Amino acid sequence: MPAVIRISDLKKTYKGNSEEVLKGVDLEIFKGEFFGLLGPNAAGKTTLISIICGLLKFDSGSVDVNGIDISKHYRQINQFIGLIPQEIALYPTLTIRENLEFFGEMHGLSGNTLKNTIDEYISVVQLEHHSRKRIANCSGGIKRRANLIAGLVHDPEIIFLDEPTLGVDAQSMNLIYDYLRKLNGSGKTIIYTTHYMKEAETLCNRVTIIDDGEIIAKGVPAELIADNPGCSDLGQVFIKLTGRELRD
Amino acid sequence: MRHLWAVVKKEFIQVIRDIPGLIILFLMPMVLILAVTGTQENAFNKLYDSKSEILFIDNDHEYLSKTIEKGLKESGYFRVVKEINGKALNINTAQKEIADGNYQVGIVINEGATAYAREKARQRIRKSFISDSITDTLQAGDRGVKTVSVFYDPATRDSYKNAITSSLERLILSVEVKIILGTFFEALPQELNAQLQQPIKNYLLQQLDVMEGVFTEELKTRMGEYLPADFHIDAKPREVKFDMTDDIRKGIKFNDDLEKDNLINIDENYAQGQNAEIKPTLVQNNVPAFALFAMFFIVIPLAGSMLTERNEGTYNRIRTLPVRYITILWGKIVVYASICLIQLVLMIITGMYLLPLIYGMPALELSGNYGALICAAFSSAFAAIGFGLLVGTFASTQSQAGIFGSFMVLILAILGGIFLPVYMMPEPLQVASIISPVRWGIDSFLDIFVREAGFSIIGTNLIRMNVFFVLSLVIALLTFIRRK
Repeated sequence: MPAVIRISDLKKTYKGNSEEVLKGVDLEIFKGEFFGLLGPNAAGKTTLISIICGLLKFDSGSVDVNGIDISKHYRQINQFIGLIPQEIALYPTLTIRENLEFFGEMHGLSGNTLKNTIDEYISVVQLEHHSRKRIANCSGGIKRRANLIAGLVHDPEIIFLDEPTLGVDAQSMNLIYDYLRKLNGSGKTIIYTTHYMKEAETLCNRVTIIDDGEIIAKGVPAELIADNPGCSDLGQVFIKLTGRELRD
Repeated sequence: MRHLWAVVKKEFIQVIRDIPGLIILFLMPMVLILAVTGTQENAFNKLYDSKSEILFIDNDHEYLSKTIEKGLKESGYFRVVKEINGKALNINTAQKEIADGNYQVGIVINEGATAYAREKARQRIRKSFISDSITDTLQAGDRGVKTVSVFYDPATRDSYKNAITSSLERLILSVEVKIILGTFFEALPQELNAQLQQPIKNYLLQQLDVMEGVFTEELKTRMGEYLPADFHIDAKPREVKFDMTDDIRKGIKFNDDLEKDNLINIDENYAQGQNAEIKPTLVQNNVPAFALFAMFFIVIPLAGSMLTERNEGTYNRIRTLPVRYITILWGKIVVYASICLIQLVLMIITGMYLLPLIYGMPALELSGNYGALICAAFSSAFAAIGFGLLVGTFASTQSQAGIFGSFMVLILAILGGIFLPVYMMPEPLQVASIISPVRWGIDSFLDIFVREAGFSIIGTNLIRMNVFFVLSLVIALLTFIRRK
C-alpha cells in the first residue's frame, strides 16, 4: 500500500519557546488507513496535524502529502485534504446549509452538483430537519455533525479529524462512527486524534502514540495491547506508556 | 471570481443577520447627528446670546459712525467694545482679538465714510436733475470706498452673521435716507432755479420774436410812405404759446441710480483672511463628520468577524481552502465598503432633509462634482476598512478589538474634527489631526461641499486614504503569512 503521508525527522519549535514541540518525528500513513494519532495533552498531536495540513511551518525535516513537498507547495494539497478541527469551525449566524454552501463553493462546487452534494451529506448525518437552522441555535450534537460534513463536502481523499466526538451524546457518536467507517471503506484515508482510547481501538487500523514531541509507540491496536503485558486494552497501554502524571 | 462571490455572500448574510449590529451601524450615526447637531446649534446660539459683544472702531468720527454706534447700543442686543484693557482698538488689534476667538465680530467705520456718503448723495441728486451736464467730482480711487468693514470669526454661525448684517443694514439705511433727504432739500432751490432759467429764457425770446413782428407791421402801417425804400422785415406775427410744463418735466429727471446703488457699503471679511480655512455650516461640517465616524465604527464588526474566524476554528478551515487569503479579505472589503457607502448616503439624506426639517437648518447641498464625491466616498470607506483590518489583525480577542477599536475611533474622530471643527482646535491638536484618516475623509467632503472642489484639491487626501488602505491590507496579509 503506498504511503500518502510521509514524515521524516520533523522538528518544530514555537517562537518564544525554547523547547521543541516535535523532536524529529518519523511517520508514514498509508492510503486507505484509519490511522489513530494518540497522545496526552500538549504531546504535539495538533501541531503535527497542522503541519501536515499546511497550517504551520516547521523548522526541519520533510513532510510529503500525496508526493507533494508541503514546505514548497502546501497550496496544492488543499483540494484533496479535509480538516475537521476540534472546534466548531462554522459560522454561527449562517444556517447549516449556508455553511456547507460556502465551503463547497470555496472548493469550486456550484449549481446542482453543490446542491446534490450538500443534500447527500445532510442526509447521511441525518440533519434534514435542521439544515435551515443557524449554527448558533443548534445543539452540540448537531453542530458536531455539521462540523464533520463541512470538512467533507469537497470529497477529500485524506481526512483529518481532531476529536470529532468531543462532547456529543452516544447516538450522535454512533452515527459519526458508522459514517467514518463507511468513508474509510470507500477508500478514504482518515487520520484521527482522540482522547477516547476505546474509540481508537474500535475504529483505527493502526495507531501512533506521541508524547512530548516524540513517537513512543506505533502499530495495530491489538498488537500494541499484546506487546504490553498486563494491558487488556489500548487505554491501559496508553497509560503504561505515557504515565499517570497530569499534563498541562 | 466565484470564490470572491461566495465570500461576499457569506459575509453579507452574516452582516444582515446581526440586527443589533446593523442598528448600531445605520441608526446610531443618524441619531447622533440629529442629537449632536441640535445640541451644537442650541449651544452655539446660547454662546452667541451671552457674548454679544461687538468690537467697534470709529475712524470716521462723524454722523455715520455716531449713528451706528448709537443704534447698536440702543438695540439692547449688543455691547459695543471700543477699547480693551484701557487701550483703544485699531483694525489690527481688533482683527487679532477676533482671530483668537475672543470676540466674534468687529465693525470698522472707515475714515471719511460720512463725507464720502454725503458727496456721493450730492452727486446723485445733481445727476438726477441734470443728467448730462454734471461732472463727477468723485476721484476714481474714491469709488467703491469701503465705508463700513465687518470682521467675523471664521467659526461665527451664519445666523449670528445674518443678525449683525441686518442690524447694520437697518442703521445704514436710516443714515442713507437722512443724508439723501438733507442733500436733496439743500440742492433743490438751486437746481430748480438752474433748470427753470432755460424755458423762461426761451419763452421771453419767443415773445420778443412775436413782439418784433407785431412792431414791424405797426410801424409799416403808421409810417407808410415815410419808410425808406430798402426797409424790409419778413417777421410775421405768431401764435403766442405759454406752456413750460413739458420743458420743465424734461429738465427735472430722477434717475434709477438712487435705488440701485448704496451710498454706504458693508465689506464683510473673516478675521483670518480669505484663504485661511474652510468655513462650513454646521450641516456641511456634521454630515461628513458623522458619516466618517459611523464608517470607522465598522472596525467593531469587521475586526469582530476576523477575530471570530481566528478564535473559533473557521480560520484554520479557511486556510485549508484552495483560495488565497486576499480573496477572503476582499469578500469582507466588498461587503463592509457597501455598508460604509449606505451609511454615507443615509447621512447625506439626513443633511439634506431631516436636519432642515427638524431644526430649520440650511439643507446640505451637493456640489456638482459627483465624480469627486464618489471617489471621496470610496476612499473614505477603504480607509475605514483599512483601520478595521489592522485592528482585526492585531487584536487578540473581540473585547480587545471592541474597546481598542471604539477608543481609537473616538480619538481619530476628535482629531478629525467631528465634534469641533479642526480650525477651532488648539494648534498642537491641529497638527496632530493631520495623521487622522478621519480628517482626510472629512476634509475631502468639506472641500467638495463647501468649495465645490475637484480632484486637484482633494487628490492628496484621496491618495492618503488609499495608501493607508493598501498598507493595512498588506500588513493584514503579511501577518496572516507570518502566523504560519
